[in-house]
Amino acid sequence: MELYLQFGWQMTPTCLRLLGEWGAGTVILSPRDLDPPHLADAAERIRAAGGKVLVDPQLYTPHETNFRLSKHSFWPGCTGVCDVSALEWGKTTRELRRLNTSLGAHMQLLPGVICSRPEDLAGWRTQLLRVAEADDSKPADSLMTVAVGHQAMADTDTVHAILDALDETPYRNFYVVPEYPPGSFFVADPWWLSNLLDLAAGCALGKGTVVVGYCAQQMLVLAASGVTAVASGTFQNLRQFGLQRFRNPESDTKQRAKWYYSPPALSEYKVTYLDVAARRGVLQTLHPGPGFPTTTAERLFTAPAPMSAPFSYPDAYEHFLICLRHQAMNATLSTFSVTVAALEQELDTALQVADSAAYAGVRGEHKQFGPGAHAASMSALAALRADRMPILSRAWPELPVEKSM
Amino acid sequence: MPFDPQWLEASFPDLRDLTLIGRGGQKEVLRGQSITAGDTVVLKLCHLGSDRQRILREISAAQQLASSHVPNIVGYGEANSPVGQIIWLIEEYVEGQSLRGVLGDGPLPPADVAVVAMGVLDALVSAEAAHVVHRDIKPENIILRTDGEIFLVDFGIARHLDLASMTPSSAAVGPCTPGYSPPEQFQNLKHDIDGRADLFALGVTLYESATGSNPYLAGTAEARAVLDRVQSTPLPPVPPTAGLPDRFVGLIWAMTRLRRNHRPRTANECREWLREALAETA
Repeated sequence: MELYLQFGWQMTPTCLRLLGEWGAGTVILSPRDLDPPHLADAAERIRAAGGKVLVDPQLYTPHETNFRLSKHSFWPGCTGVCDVSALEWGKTTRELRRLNTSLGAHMQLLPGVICSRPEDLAGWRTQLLRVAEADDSKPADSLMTVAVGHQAMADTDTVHAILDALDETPYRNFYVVPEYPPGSFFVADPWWLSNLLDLAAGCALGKGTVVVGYCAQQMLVLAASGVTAVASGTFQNLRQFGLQRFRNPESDTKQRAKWYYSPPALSEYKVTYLDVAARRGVLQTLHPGPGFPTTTAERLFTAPAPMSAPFSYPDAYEHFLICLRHQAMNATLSTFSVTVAALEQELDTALQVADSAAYAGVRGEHKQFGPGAHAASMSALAALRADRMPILSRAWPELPVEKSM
Repeated sequence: MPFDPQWLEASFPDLRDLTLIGRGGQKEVLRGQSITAGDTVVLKLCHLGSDRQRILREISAAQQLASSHVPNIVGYGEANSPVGQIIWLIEEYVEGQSLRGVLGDGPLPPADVAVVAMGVLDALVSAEAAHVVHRDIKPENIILRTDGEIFLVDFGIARHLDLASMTPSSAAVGPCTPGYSPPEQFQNLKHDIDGRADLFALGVTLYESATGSNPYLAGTAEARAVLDRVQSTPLPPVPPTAGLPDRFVGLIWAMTRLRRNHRPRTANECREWLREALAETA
């Protein structure tokens, strides 16, 4: 499974550094964070660095005015609250096609309004089919956006109705954008997570490209669904999708915090807690371990005290993304069963490592992997196995995702 | 609804030696000889429900099925009988025994389960091409001809004739055969009934063929209890004692998932899967 970079506020330097290190990669550009000239500039620089570009049109709630998105030519011309059903998708998709061509995007992300609640399903389906009808590009060259609100995602009937609706379209490539349950960094709702895995697997079984956007480390379990890639970014709002980001002119910078990501614990810790870990003799348990690429976070483990080591915000973000990419690339294995077993092992280990560290006083606050997230993740994997194991096992060799041996 | 022999003779002058071979609910089934063709045929007579146009449309579609595993429909039409307006259908007679009868002697050997699966899937592939859903696959509707060929009978009329309506006064429960029909069928989710409903029913039938029992029907004859079981409990994998290849076990497991999105998408996909399973065994 690949890791795509989910672009966010002031993220161009990070993208360029990571692409330079990786030699390749895909960046999902965010018009919300880049006005038209900067969007063109970022795309050009990313492509020059060897990266591929996708453009998320972010038309999740096109009936609401967004102060940044509305600067783009593809944004519907209505102001204030306007009627979604009256949107002219033909004009929008034409504008988006023009934009994608000018930015050199290697595939086109088609717009998709969000299905927020189960009762929104009929309206959502109507818009999905209208977009499909308006789009005159080749389906093989596009990914259809499937944005699902947290209430809809927690409802199994709704998720299956969404799969039914997607079957009515000619598309087999999907960009899934799940809205997270409010107030949770890790998801402890087994239904939400299980339905996401099921939705992703249903999409992946079409054997096209399936990308799940806005992912944090817990979403590594999506490897079991056979998805092509997960996308993640620097700030928390790029690792968890929420509509708030598209509604208010929030300041992204105020959400900054410097966290160290510990891959074996699937948890993040403020650096001051690494000092506690060093003092309690458990610091090495939070080290990425052998096989991971070396990052600037290595300084935290070699300095007399982690707090004394130079470790900037960009260092923290890049360490997170480098490690998450390594985990993602090693998450999809040769068969479905082996992949699920390895993920279960990884989850068990993470809970054990995070618990042991917490016992020693090393706390990750809301970013510490805990029993709730562990239980929901294990439950979702078990449900996926019960519902789809034979079909996924058979389709596994044909899914367009890199498998690690 | 016993039919008057004189009326039968007058209405179907090409048929002779008509003998009653089955009767149930809405229909009577007779066997006879076609004077002009010289073949043994089956005459099915049944009451028309409210879906007259739809029945005729589906029989017409079933008549077009290009499958050697479906009896040919020689002719069909409407008639005004002494018991009211009826629909009649004449089809090829298949000399053999129903799978239900065969299972009376115990489970089938693995090779025979595969033969049943392949025969019915061949029929369903043709049905998919014609956009026809059988809606009542069960051991009673699968005939093992004396030469070993498999036939799926009652295409085009099964849903209108043989399916028990649990609560006729309530649209909440759709026509179904408890223990074989999938949840979307007895939940009366009409828009959700497609070829995957047939795959579920065939999967249960194959499970029963391999093990000798249908877990949904075991220990109860109460229809509501059976439906509750189907709705809440997916079938387990066919146990290893049945001797089926692992891939075949996986196929039956996939076909019997409670939600149609968890099943294979098409009969053709199932047929390919079965071929892979059999090739692996060979």
